[in-house]
Amino acid sequence: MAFIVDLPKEIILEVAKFLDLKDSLALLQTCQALYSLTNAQPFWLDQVHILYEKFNPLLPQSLTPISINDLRAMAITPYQFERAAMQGKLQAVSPIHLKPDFTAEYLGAQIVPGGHWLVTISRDFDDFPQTERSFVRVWRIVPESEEQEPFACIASMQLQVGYLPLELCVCPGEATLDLSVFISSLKQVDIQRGGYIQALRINLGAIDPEFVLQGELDVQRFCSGLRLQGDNVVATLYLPGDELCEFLIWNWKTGGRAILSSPGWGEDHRKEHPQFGILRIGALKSIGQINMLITTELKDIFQHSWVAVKTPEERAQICQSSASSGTAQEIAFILLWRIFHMRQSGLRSRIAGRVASYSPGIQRITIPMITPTIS
Amino acid sequence: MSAAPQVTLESSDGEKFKVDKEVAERSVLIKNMIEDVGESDNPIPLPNVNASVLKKVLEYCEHHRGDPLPAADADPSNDDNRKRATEISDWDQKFIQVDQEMLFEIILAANYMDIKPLLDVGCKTVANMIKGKTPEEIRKLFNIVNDFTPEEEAQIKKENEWAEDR
Repeated sequence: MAFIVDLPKEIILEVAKFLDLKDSLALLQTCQALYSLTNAQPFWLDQVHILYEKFNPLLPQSLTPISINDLRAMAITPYQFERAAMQGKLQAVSPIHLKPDFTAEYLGAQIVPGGHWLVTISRDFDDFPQTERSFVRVWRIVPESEEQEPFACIASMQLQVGYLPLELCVCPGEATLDLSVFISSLKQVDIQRGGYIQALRINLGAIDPEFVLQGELDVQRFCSGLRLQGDNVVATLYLPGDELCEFLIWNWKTGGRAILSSPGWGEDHRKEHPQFGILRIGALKSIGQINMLITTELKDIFQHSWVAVKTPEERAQICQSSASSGTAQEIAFILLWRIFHMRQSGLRSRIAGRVASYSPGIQRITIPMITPTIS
Repeated sequence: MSAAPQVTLESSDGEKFKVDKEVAERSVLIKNMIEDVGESDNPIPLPNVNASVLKKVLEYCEHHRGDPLPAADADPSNDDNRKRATEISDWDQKFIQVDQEMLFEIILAANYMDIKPLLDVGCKTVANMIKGKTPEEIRKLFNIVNDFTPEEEAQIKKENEWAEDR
């Protein structure tokens, strides 16, 4: 006679993969033997993977260095957030104070999965002499000892002068405390000509962590929706006001890249695009890999890279939503908006909003709930 | 045309099943056994599967004999695709309409014999039975004995408060 509790644990985990987190936990809460699975890493790893797959194409390559509690928080917070949003309970939380407090415009911020580190890209304004310089920085969110302050800057690198960093994508690297950081930048004086993506790496375990440049790609376009898929950076490329919008796949390790294009994508990114366009350059590892990327990711990128269109000249994009999860119960949310003004003078962007909550896949859940305000 | 090669499988209770090799090889376990041992007239013993379950499993293998085999070096991305689709085809649905005991026996057999698609059908079926139910309803459904102390139960309830009345 076979009962469900007689099934091996790996089969119970297989069943849980077909359930959402709430239903999985309902099953595991029925008895001691099943509940023990919630105190082990495999269950939470599966859940986080499923969530990332559902909400966000950005899947950190290595989650195993993350503790069970952090994984649990990563899996649960999106549900908490969704619930709060549904019930209209979303509230702004106290602002975060970064130290030192640079006079800067934060163009992008992302919390590294696990909730211990924040990575930002910013444009700093010095009073005298009047200059603008762009930086990528890492901040420690959770202090390791009492002497350490939360949100202290632990590493910083100045980005190329004359370029404005636009987007940031952070992924845990192969080893613990090893991060891969991707930044897309745009040439400020002549946006029609210059834009590039940088791949950086930093080891946060070092005494004096430093960013190391791993690779660069000149894209000569505006680059948005930067994501990492395995070894491939994926993004949309376009020129403001241009009908043409392209889709980039760049293997930053081998240098191989492919660009997909189709006329008409530039105008309305929220439409479904049944045609995938033409593969123009192919030097990736395998065609199969590209096909998979296209079928699974293209719709996501196009449907969600733009979240709100206010006027034809102005588009709001949630550039990053990030997490701070001190404990499973305490949730801090950061959400940044960037409003793009597309006028004759060129393209400007600034942070327009900051609200409430954390989830790895916040973009899709939050969009209808909050109206960005221009600062 | 010569007849398709056949193999004999023997259930735990000694019943013998003569089936086409192609059908038996839906099971990765049997496929590997045949590869290791080579063709032989000796029946292949399956000490963990009884006759009624094996009959059912072979019915599944027979129906799906022509399906493409999943790649040996399972690509994790394919695994994701598999996860996403929770629907079950009509034939499989009808096939898996069995009592709970048989359902779990089939899952165990599919796991032991390494027939991934059948394991998925079984797990999806169990998942569909669970969806939307409370822990108490799940206990009733699967005859699970609640072995928590009242204190433990209160603690668990507290830990999982966030999931209430979603």
